[in-house]
Amino acid sequence: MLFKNLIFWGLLALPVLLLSQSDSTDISSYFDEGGVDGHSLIIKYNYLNAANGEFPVTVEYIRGNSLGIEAGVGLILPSYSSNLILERADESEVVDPELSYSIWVQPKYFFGDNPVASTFAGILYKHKVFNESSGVTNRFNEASAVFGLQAALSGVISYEFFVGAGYRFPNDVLSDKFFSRFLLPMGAKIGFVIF
Amino acid sequence: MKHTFLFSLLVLCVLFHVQSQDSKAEIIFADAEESPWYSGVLDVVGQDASGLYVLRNTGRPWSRKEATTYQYELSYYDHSLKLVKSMGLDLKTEDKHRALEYVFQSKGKLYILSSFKNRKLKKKFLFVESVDKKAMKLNNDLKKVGEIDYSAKDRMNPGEYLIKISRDSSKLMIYVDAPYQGQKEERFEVYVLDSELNTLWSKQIKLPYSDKSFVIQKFDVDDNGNAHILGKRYKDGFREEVKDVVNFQYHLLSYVSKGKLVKDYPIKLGNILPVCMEFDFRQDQGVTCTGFYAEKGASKGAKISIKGTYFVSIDYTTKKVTKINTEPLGFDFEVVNLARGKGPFSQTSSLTVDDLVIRRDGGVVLIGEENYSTAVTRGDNRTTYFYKVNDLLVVSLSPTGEMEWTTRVPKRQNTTNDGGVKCSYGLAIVEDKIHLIYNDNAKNYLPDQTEVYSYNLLNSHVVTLATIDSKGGLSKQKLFTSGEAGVTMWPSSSKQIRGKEFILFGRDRKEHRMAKIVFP
Repeated sequence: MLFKNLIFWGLLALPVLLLSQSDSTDISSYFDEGGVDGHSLIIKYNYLNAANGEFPVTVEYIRGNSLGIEAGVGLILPSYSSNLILERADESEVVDPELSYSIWVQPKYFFGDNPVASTFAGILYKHKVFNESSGVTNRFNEASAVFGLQAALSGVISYEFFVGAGYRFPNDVLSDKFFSRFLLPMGAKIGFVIF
Repeated sequence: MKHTFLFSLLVLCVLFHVQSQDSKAEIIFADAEESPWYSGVLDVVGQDASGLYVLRNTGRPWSRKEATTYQYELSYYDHSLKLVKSMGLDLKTEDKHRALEYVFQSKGKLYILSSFKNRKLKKKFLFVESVDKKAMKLNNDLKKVGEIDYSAKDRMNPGEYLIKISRDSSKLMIYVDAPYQGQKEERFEVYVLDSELNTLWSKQIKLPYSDKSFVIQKFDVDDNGNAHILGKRYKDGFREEVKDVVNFQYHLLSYVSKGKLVKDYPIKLGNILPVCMEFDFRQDQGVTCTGFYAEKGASKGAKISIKGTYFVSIDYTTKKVTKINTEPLGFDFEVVNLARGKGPFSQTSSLTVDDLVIRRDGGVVLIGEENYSTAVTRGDNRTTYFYKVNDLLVVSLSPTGEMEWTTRVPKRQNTTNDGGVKCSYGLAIVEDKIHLIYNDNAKNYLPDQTEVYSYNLLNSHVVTLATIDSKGGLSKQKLFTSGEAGVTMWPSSSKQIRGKEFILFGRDRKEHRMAKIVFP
């Protein structure tokens, strides 16, 4: 009888014991994000390139803690000169340029835990299209390895600075112009964190 | 006769020696330690009979948002300021980094408070972990003590934990600040923990005032675990002050009996313009609120004239405001008026009560300081921040709020782009003396000078010790020069330890150094 009672009370208390035990020891449950990585979307304006006469607006999507992709377009004014910030992307051979554009794509790897405030490395690919008043179109493909820093200035404002080294490949080479050259790209962006 | 003369001379020498010993503070410098410009000593977080525990920041500023393994270091120094041992704070669980929130000592044990933002659960958890002081390692006894549910809030700003420890270190108050709610009710959460870090009580609080019209100014916990929150309620619904108009009222919110009993004390001060308020707990478990006031219409353009002090006593037994008293200063004390057009969180005057010392008899000593900053943005979009910190005004009030004495400590401090860390003062109270330690211009020690020269980052400077006795008498002495220290001291972030000792932190671009002042 006594033994039966013990089993009964033991079984009754078991869930309570298990619950209290799991509550006090299972600290890992607070850190379990169930494979759900965070993701962020940031709209950025590269104000440093604006000094050259190029106005790139890009969108960056970050998935998880380490990987992100940034893409966007830039408007290139006829007064554009990439020599102002030492990029060495000399386009002086473009004759009488008109309003042109560029396309930016940049996969990134973040070294820190929080990509919104971390150093990163990435490959910057730029496709520049220069229209000349004569109707000639010059297309350049540029690829650079870049290293940069992203910082959160506030909950919604981010800042990015990068420098790198790369190469411009001649694509549409008309007449005897030869545009390939070594590049030193750099940029500074101010961003608005959507989420 | 000869012996008597010699004996008298000997006694005189001994007396003179005792007197000179009595008036001089002793300085002990630690060895200078090389460190990058972005690192440095943050705080003395604990102490015992053989030494003290110092929290140091070793991380780079751009990764400050989320703490990583290498960002903070806990260092143990002996009392001669020799570094004995250091440990990196490895705040990592399941490969996830926690952010450091607070380090403190309670009942001789050192604790680390850290937080983790779980993006799946949309909760920001607060954890506590103790430190094995002997082995200088974490005890791996991580325990959850609080959580913020931000599922309905801004992902980038889930709210933050603000922490306060009671005078006797037996209670810890965690104030959970919710993101700005605008016209919605002001909301926050309070946790009170005992010295073993068990939750005594917690409460989700919704005030009958909108977030837009109510500004929390200070919170604190008394030794009995009662939480108190001082706020400013703006009558016209906006957090902006208007010159010469009292468009706000202070409220002290008290949560006693484990948060079950809530009392909102509106503090009515009559026809005066309060420019700041502080509160502290008395030994009879009442609360004293005090500050400086100006008269309405007393502002003269950009200046405002401080007229006196006010004193408010609250009795917990009767749950009533039992005494309100105002006392004139009796002399002119003009400070810069910051009201209007300086943003929604501006204060009326640049004078603030920086410290409030409650005496054993219930009387108080207020230490006010004129302290403000300005920013100038030039055409190249570069902004320069100017920090101006001026005189200290020290006032002693009796237990019933009557003025006993006032002392003005003249000083001028002007720095740029340093966050004001080299300005202001450090406070130490030794027996019945108040010691104020601050950076000063060396020219203020020239003989026969009458002008107060300004301390700035360019001129040669000294660290001054101003001492105020129990009658309000002021004496000043030069402690050491910047050349002797080798670094610039940051007195306002320094700390009194072990009764008669005060630890000063200092640094320049390449190294940091601590110094200890031992008061007589």
